[in-house]
Amino acid sequence: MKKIIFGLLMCLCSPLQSWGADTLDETLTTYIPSYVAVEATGTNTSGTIDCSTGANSGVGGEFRLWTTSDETDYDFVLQSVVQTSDAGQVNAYGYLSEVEFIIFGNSEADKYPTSASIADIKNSPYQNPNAIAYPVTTSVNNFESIELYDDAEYDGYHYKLATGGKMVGFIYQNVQTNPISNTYDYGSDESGVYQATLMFSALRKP
Amino acid sequence: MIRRKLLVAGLLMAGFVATGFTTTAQAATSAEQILQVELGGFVDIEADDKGSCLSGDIDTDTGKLEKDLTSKFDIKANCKQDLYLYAKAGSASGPQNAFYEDDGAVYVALASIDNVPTDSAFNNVVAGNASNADDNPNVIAYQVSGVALSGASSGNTPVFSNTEKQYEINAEPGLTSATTTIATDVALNTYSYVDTAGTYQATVTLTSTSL
Repeated sequence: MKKIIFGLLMCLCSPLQSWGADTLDETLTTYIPSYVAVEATGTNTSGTIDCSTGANSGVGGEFRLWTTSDETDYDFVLQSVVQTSDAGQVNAYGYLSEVEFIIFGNSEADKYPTSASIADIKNSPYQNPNAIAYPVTTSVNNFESIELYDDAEYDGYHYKLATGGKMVGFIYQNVQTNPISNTYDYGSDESGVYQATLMFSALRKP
Repeated sequence: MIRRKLLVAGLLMAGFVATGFTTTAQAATSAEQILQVELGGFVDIEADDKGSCLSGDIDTDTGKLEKDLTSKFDIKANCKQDLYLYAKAGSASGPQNAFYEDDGAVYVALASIDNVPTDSAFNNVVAGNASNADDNPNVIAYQVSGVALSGASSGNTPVFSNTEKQYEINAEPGLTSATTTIATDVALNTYSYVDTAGTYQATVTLTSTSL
């Protein structure tokens, strides 16, 4: 028994050995696991709204991604949600007239926008109490690109990153100052903090 | 034979070890960031002259107005707001509070702008106990029949404070109209021949600042 244990240890810890007169070829393979890490790095995430125009002071999100893999193994997805009073969190991204935008909702529980209010903005802004939309500019640093897609798998609009084979880089989403037309009205958008949540994920493909 | 078994066992162990290493490295694969922008409280008040009836004639025999006078303000607010409605009319020492309460009713005193009343005459009326119209020349008072709210604040009722000489209005978020109506009947003992011909007026103000 001691011999068997000794033999096993020799296999694991010793250089290749030949046994007797036989010739043995052995290939040693080192496996480097795929590594992915995501970090929220934005610091300009809060601001104010001008009551008379609805213009915000300029906010934005920022994420850093490290990866030894790429889009063949992962979907790198940027999503956003806004809280509603009747349907929980819903997709906050929209796209109208070739403008990509994000919807902010009042964050006070008794002032949450309804899902109808969010839908109104996404379809044709007219009446949308307690929800305000702003155009967004989404870009990358070091990576190849990031584009808007519309896919039911992600509840509609979302962004997908192409790394271009780069192992580390940044994803930026800047919220422009002026609101989308007919989404801000001081007669229907109540005072309070308006917010949307950005989520960047590396989702491993099956 | 034994060597062969050892070799097989060694290779199997190496395989297990290698399999263990194929586990994906552990790290955060998603991150969240909340974007927030704060919208402060805001109220915008506009005098709606088109929706108002700001002038009319006085019947010289009775002192009655020919028609009700109305003053309308449009309010836009994005939060609950306490607003204050008051009136000012000029006497010798300057603008004075023109709303007053008498026996449970609210009145407004109109002062001649051509022959400005004395402070004594004006005070005689707004004190609410005028007993002789000869004591208050160039001041005529009419009852405020009400301050009506429509729109977002229609469920609220303005309350008059005789201490502050103003109506207190709770405006709700949204669009509200506040219409003040002055009835035609002249207040007792405030109109007589001592009121000289000319224009009588009071200025109604709606504001977020209390008197």
